[in-house]
Amino acid sequence: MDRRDFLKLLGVATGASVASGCNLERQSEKLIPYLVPPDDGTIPGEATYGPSVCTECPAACAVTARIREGRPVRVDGTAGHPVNDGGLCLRGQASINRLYHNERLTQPMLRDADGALRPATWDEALRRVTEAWGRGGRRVFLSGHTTGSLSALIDETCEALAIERRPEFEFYGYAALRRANAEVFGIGDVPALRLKGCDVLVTIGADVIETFDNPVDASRQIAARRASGGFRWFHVEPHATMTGLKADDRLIVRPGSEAVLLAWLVHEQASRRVIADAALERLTRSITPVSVEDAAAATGVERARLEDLAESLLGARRPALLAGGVSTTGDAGRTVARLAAVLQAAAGMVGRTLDFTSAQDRSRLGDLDDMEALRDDLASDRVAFAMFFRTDPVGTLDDGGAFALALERARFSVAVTDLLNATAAQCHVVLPASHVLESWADAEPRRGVVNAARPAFAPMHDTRSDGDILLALRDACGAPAPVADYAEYLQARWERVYGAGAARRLVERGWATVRAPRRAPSVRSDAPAIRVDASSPPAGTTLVVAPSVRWFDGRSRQLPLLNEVPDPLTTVSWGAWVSLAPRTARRLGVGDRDMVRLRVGDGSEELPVRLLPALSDGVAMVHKGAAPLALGRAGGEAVAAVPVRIERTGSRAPLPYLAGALGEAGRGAVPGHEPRHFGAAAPGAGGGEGSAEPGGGHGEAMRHEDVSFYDPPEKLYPKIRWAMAVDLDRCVGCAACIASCYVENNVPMVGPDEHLKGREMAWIRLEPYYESDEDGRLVEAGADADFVPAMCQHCDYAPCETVCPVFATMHNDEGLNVQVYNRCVGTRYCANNCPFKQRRFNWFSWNHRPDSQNLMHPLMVNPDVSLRGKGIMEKCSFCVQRIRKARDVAKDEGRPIRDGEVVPACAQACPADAIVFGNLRDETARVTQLARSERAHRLLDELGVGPAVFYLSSKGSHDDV
Amino acid sequence: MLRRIAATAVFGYFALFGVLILLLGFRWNRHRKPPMQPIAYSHEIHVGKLNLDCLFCHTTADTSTFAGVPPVATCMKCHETVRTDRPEVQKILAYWKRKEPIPWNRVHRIRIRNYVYFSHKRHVKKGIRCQQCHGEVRAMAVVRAVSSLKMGWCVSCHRENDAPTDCAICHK
Repeated sequence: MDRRDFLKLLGVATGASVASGCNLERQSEKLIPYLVPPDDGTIPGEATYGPSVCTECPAACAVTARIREGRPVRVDGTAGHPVNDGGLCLRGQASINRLYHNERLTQPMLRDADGALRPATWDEALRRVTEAWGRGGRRVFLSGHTTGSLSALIDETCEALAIERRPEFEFYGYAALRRANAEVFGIGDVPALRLKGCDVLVTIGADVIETFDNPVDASRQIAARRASGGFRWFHVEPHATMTGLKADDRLIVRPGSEAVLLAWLVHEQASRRVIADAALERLTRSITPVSVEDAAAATGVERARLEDLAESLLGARRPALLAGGVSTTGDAGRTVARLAAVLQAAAGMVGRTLDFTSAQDRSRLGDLDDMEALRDDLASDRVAFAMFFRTDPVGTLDDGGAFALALERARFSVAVTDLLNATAAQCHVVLPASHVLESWADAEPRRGVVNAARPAFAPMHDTRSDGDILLALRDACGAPAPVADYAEYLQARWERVYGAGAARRLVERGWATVRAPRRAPSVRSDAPAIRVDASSPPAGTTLVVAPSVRWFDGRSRQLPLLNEVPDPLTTVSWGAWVSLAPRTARRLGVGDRDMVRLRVGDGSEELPVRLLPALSDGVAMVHKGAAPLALGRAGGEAVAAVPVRIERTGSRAPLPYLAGALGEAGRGAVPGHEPRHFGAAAPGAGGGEGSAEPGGGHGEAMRHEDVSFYDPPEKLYPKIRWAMAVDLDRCVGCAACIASCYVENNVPMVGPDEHLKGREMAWIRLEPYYESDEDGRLVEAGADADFVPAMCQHCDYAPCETVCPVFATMHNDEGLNVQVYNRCVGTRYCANNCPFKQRRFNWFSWNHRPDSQNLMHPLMVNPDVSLRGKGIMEKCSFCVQRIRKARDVAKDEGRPIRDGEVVPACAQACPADAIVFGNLRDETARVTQLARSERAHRLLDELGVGPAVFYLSSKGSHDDV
Repeated sequence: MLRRIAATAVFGYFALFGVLILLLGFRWNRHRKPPMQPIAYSHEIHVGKLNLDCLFCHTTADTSTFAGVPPVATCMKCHETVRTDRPEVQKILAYWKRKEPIPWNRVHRIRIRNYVYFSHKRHVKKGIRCQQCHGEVRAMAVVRAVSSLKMGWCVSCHRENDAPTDCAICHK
């Protein structure tokens, strides 16, 4: 009997661990083979890849699904694609969570006589729909934004079945921009950004790296322009977004004052350069004259900064300007959109940096006025048959309640959806739609680009693809299409519309470029004059409702992963909140987690507070989808900024947020911020939330010569030293890396209660550090911020390793800080000794919870990575499974691993190409070059632990970049 | 009286452990014994007599981490016509007819399979014979495990052959 057997017996004898035999590691002892091997080249244990389209927002990026043993385990941007080229945003990365959502509709549902929805078969459901359709009367069809073949099929179906197709509904439908561009240029579209060669970019309200148009495309282009230098980016906004904080210059204006600023810019432009175009000249002259003083007074921005903006923009060789987002909403928003169009024309951006030819086709898209018309039609009993196709007006509209009341009047309603939403819950029939990874589909992210989706596997449930539902409907109503299924329809349409070559590429590669008619708009001679109200906006607090990078217009809030990943600015994970500048909050006498009542017009809503120093004083911010606040409607768009009264309620709410402090308290965590000498610090240094305990800092004063008992890293890791470089100048803070890491590494989603206990499991986080003033006090309003993506630093001399009593964490000779899960006994010493707070402890066996509580579907598990059980420590592994895979391929080919062959999940997701991974011992490797750059910086370098993650930032070297 | 009860309790307490240890002893041996298989498939006949190559059935042993368990279709390549009168072959035919895969039992019951990365491909490509770990399967009518597949066993071979012994090579 060896020692281990003895200990096991002892365990039984003391009766303490009788149950240890039935632990979670036991697994099926069966070995089930295939009946017939798959003929698609699947090799058990090896991944295959299939093209698909992201459907999490209307941008329709091309994605490639990674398929293991016949089930998709993750999606990534398709490399080489003209729009998103290998990048994907946070929502796109998390979209696989929708496929494996616990609450997905598994079969059709019918409303009983008593009003409850009950499961039914497709035949029953379609029969019910057909009966209702056959009763005649007015029939309407509403969908979310569709492009390509689905839009064509909807047209055909509506025509064949005599259904009225209403303009498509998207809450963020760019109505003001499209109307303004129609008035000024005659083209009701949102132009695509073309930043190649652009030297100055000005974005007004448009959160181009978060939700506006195609954020992946914009992030990619901005990062590339920044890397090549000679580029300056101004962002003008009334609230706080990642876009603003990542811009070179952030101009915080008073809500509603953007029009004054733009009018002044147009006049400046006109005064500098003679406008040749007569129509444009006339239009420019029609604009209310605004002086720089007016602009400064209205916006609240210093005159010098405004002049700097004008100087840069108007003096630029190849400028670009975009307005959008919250700035183009409300009454002033329409003026902002028109002024932006005038300036775009006057500064020669149209056709150069702003491209209407390749803009997304939004011709089917309606606006909120159309939705009101639909609501009125429904409310006046004029609608006999209403179909809601992948859209949720009740849950998305600000006044969804009114729409819900109107919908009740419809004699029959049917919804097509994947998760039961507020609209579907009210319909008579609910048809379950397959996920795009289970379907054939296509989409046009831009005019001239088509993406195709091929099913990665058969539908998990009794669902049908979007196209097949429409075809089934036509069959059932006796007007069948001449095709067997949607796949056949697509094939035929691709060949007919795009040509045989493109159709082949769509099948093989998943995307194709096709000819798009050139559109070079000129200013219309009948464009109406533009009046600007130059008076200062009224004082008082303004509430801004902005789209969220996580939830988009609220639809993505259904995904657990997009709640588990915290909001990048506030680090709030689960739940809704209102952000306030610390100064505003102090005036109201509230702090983090205090409940406040927001009174807007007649309505009111209670939300907990989270401090956000980046906001200006007097602005409160709520994310769309957080609370049903009706702010009204103007110009076809929902108003995004209204006066609000904020009242303290006195109660508190358990709002989970993950950052322990708002600032870095002078620890020098951010490149370019030198650590402060704490010994000599003024009293109260580091004040506010981020105050440091006396002597808690590790400043320059404590630094001494590198003397070590350890061997130098060159000797410890002679051949390979895996390392990572994170270029903070390129990073756009989109948080896509975080979702990508969750999906790749089976990182457990633990939910709000555990977050409140500080038990979040993320292997990579985006650390926001808000600006401090010279005394080390946090700036209380309008603060700038630095964002540091932080993961395990794989230190040369990792402090976690020396304290592990069982060698569960050790260093391998390639420099990886390896965590051996089944060796770990869970002392948590390592986590206590990690200076970067990167180690995560499994308090429970998250992935072995009952299905209803398990936020991660068992099929979503990446089989390359172990599921960690209770009592085990885990952390970023530098995606060791991908290193292993690359080595396997290299060995097959009898060569060493090439530079760039190992791409961790975070680097793969990054649309800005900010993360570079490689071997530090390879002199030619990209990571080696970057690590030696004078911009390189390591976190808490003075501790001497030798991190393998290098952060690159030009801050500190020259301030103005 | 009290004494007797105490003595019985103490005796019972220890007797209970005795029984538990005995039960455990039965369990102990279980994983040494080859498991019962749903079909009495004989490697002795197929490999020993008929000289089939391992890769004929375990097709992905040199291309994937998994060696591969033959699909029922592989059995049917021959047994559609060969020896269809044998009762064991008829069992295969029955599975095939029912469109059911054969629920084989694992010979190597490794509890921590989840935590270990092992690639058949790497070992096969290095020229390690299947028999080195799986034993002389050609002589086994019923396949049994000949190696423990425990970490010590892996590491000793890795050491002898100068293969890496870095934790991250196997532990995932």
